[in-house]
Amino acid sequence: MGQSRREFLRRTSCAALGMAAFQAGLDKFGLISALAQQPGVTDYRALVCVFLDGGNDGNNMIVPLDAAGYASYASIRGNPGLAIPLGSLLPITPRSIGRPFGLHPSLPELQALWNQQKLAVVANVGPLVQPLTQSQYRSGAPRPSALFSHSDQVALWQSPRSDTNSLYGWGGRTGDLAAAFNSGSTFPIVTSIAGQVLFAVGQSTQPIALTPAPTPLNQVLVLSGFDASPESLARRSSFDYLRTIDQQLSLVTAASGTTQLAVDAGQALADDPTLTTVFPASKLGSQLKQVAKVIKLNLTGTRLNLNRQIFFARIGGFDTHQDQIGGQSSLLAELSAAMGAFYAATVELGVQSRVTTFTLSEFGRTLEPSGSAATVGSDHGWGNHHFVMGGPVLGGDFYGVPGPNGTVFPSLQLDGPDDADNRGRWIPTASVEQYAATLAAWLGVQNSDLPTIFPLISRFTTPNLGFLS
Amino acid sequence: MVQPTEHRKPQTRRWLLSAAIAVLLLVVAPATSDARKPPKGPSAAISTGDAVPRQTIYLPARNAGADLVRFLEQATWGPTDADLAHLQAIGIVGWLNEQFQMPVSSYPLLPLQLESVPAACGTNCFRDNYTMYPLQNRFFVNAMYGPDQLRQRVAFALHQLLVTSGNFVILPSWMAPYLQTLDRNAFGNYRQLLYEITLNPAMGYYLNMSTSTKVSPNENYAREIMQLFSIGVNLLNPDGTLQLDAGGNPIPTYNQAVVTELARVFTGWSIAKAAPGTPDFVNPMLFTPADHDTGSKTIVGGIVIPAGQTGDQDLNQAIDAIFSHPNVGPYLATHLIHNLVTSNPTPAYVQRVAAAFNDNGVGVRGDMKAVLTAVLLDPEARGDLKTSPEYGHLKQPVLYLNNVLRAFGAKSADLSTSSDGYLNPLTSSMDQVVFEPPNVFSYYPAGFPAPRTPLLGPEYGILSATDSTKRENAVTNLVFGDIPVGANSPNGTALDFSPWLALASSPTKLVSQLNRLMMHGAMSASMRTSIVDAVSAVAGSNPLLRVQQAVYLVATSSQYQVAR
Repeated sequence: MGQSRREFLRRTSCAALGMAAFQAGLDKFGLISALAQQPGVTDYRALVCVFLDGGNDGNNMIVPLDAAGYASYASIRGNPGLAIPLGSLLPITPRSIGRPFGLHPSLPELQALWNQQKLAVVANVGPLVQPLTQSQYRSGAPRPSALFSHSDQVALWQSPRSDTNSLYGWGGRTGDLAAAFNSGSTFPIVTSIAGQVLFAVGQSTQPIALTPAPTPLNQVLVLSGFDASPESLARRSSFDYLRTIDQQLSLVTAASGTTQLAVDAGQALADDPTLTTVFPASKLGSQLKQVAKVIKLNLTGTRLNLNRQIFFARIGGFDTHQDQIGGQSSLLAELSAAMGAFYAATVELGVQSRVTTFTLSEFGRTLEPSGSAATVGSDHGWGNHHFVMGGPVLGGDFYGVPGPNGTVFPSLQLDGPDDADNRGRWIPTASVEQYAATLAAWLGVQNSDLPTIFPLISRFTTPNLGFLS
Repeated sequence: MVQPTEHRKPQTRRWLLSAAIAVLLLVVAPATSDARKPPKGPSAAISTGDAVPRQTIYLPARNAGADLVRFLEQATWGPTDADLAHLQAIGIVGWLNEQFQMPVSSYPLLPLQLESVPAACGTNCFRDNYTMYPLQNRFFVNAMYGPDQLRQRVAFALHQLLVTSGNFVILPSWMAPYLQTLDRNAFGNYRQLLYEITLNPAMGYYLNMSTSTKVSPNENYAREIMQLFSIGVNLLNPDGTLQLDAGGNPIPTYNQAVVTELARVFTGWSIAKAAPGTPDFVNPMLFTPADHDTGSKTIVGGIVIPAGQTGDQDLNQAIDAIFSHPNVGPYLATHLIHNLVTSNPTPAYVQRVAAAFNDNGVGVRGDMKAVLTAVLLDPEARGDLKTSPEYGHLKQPVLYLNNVLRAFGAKSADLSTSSDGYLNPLTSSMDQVVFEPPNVFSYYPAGFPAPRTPLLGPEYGILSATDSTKRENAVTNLVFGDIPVGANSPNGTALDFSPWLALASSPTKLVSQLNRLMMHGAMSASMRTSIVDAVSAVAGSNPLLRVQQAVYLVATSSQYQVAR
């Protein structure tokens, strides 16, 4: 099954052209499109989620650069000292808005990708249970529970619905449906490089979690202590048998399933591909490097056989109640360098048009600062801005749902038309479901199947925010 | 020491339901009468004439060995034969009262250090004064050898609820007073714990209360003390289930305005200086009247804190309002049951424990002794055999590792003395760095599902495929090897299998004894047979390898990793 036409073609292609030429062909001569006519051959697509733990402050990540917009921002954030100086912001101009904005100065790689039209922004997105105006919000209309709370909002951003707690994540649920593309493969569709996470759990999808680079891929899931002695073989035999019994005990079976997954995946991850792209040695850099290696193993090896993959990476530290200026700068620098390297690696692998990377975070932060000048930070907010990166992205623009000011970008005013209260907590205009459904649809989930994953999606104007080709 | 005779019969005891078995219906000694001796024989529930009937609990007969082993799984860092013998001798109530009065192992205060690492501070100085290393080692030493096992389990459960993390509060001298606060109050009153933890400098530093002033109040602590430490985000029924409005939606416990108001209550507290450059993380935070917002505030439950009060008056009034909220009982009950007993308790179990929180039998709310007694002596916790397929919980890494260490009398690498407790690298590999939870919602999400089940299984939040492999490899490391003596481990650690070698001549007996001590006799026949076969594949002339073979297989099994 797995050794199907896909493998046959891959091997014959490799044999005919040699691997290097084959990869160059993928890249330069449009070989992918030629082969794409064969179903399941090169029809590869991957989503890569980067979760910014703690609630990234989007208000300092993307700042209006027009005179009035910056003045409003600076008047609120300038005292006590949370405003980014005008001159240090990295200018970008979303074509549908036409006014300039500035990226945080720590994001040079992402600015370069924006300029190449490989990066877009989804503005003011957040959990919603229905479209919500300010007057509706303030008069008590339905809203997600436990807004502004870390743990709950982490769960909502990862869940396929915002009106209740979910036992599943939308990555896992998307994996449930997209798994049909992977028939013949037993390797999980979802790979986390950041441990177990709700995002990755589906009804039938059980994710695999791998440790980041520099751990070689072929060493992440190796059981120690076994050899070829008869005693060891007997122990291994019993070890393997024990996880097949006592299946009536739900929690025991859940743990056995994870062990089984580890054993199977350990056998599949038999190689440790190398990349020429240099990744930063940061936490996120090491995670995204491992993602790129798994993609390469899938493309060049014979054991994974996946046409669809979903990856999850995360970095923490964004809960900048205090000391935000330095703290967020170094985190965004890590984000930008790692995402830039990852995009370069997809180019190296010839899959830049087949991989879409996006950010999530549990909330934005208050526009109004908190704390004193020495320790200035910001508190928990709601709607926030996110990046989408990759060849499939219709880059160079802001996406979302227009709000009271007619654009997708909120008005930076305390108690203004987008504020939930008076501290600059943006009422989202686009819902997490819309953002997620756009990504899921690109991966291959049929529009008619979207409500199966996202039960509330029909409440919103469109299931597709249009940032992917 | 191995006890070869216990529990030979297949256990079909259903002590609770069977009239043939002696069931003791007892009244637990309330916290206010520690010295009271546990009742010695069957007795009826005593009506005290209080409005609320006194709590009644069921106890198995003292010789119900399997359930006593399981009790130790729930109430300690892992059963040992010595603890089992003692428990059999004094009974569960005697044991609880003994634990309630046991001196605290705890964490010694460490000398306060300069906030910035001095240039002269070398590798060991940094390790000992600017990392969690000394506290992590102490944690494992306490768990392996400390007699105050219940307090340690409960304090760690409280650490998982009232979180600070060494990944932010990086000096062990800053974290130790926080850990002492948890230890000190583990058997006290939850209201006192909330008060002390609020003014604890490590907490103030971790959740930013220590820099919150009337000019720039910081919402972080105000939010988390409600959301995570006490009442949660939605209104609960007394049995822990969600209250729903007419539309079927959860009802928020508080809104953002309450958080904002409560943040104003907590303004004006900061961390004092013990010396220039050396913050004082030992004494409670210091109040500066000029930084306190003295306006009136309306907080949870609509309670109005009047203008013009002192910081401590405001604080006490707010803590009272939070502590009095009806959610606290079911919220705390659920957390403790999840941590000690089972991930999917019946609502009735939660309600019984919440009732003990609400009233310990003599009208006191928040008495942790009553709460813990209710958790551990509930019919749903006790009993030899649990048939519900949903029962139990995955052991988190520290519990898993401590269970193995204690069952096999861990000592130094050369078995001549005690282990030094340098074991955090093993749990770290399983995604649990002791005292360094990744964030304020602790080591794993409270709402994480057990994969491919409709069940809650919070600990599965740190059981990835990699974690699973690391668990098995950690067992390999300990069972077939040791933690050697090294720069960070002056003594090293090894399991002591010597008491087990005599059993190795009979694989059946060996496995039967492991079943008794490690799995309270719950091993299925097919599991037993498989392990006996694997042990029999080792020559009888190699008793150590037989024991290692058997211990590896039990310890790595899912059946053992899930406490049932």
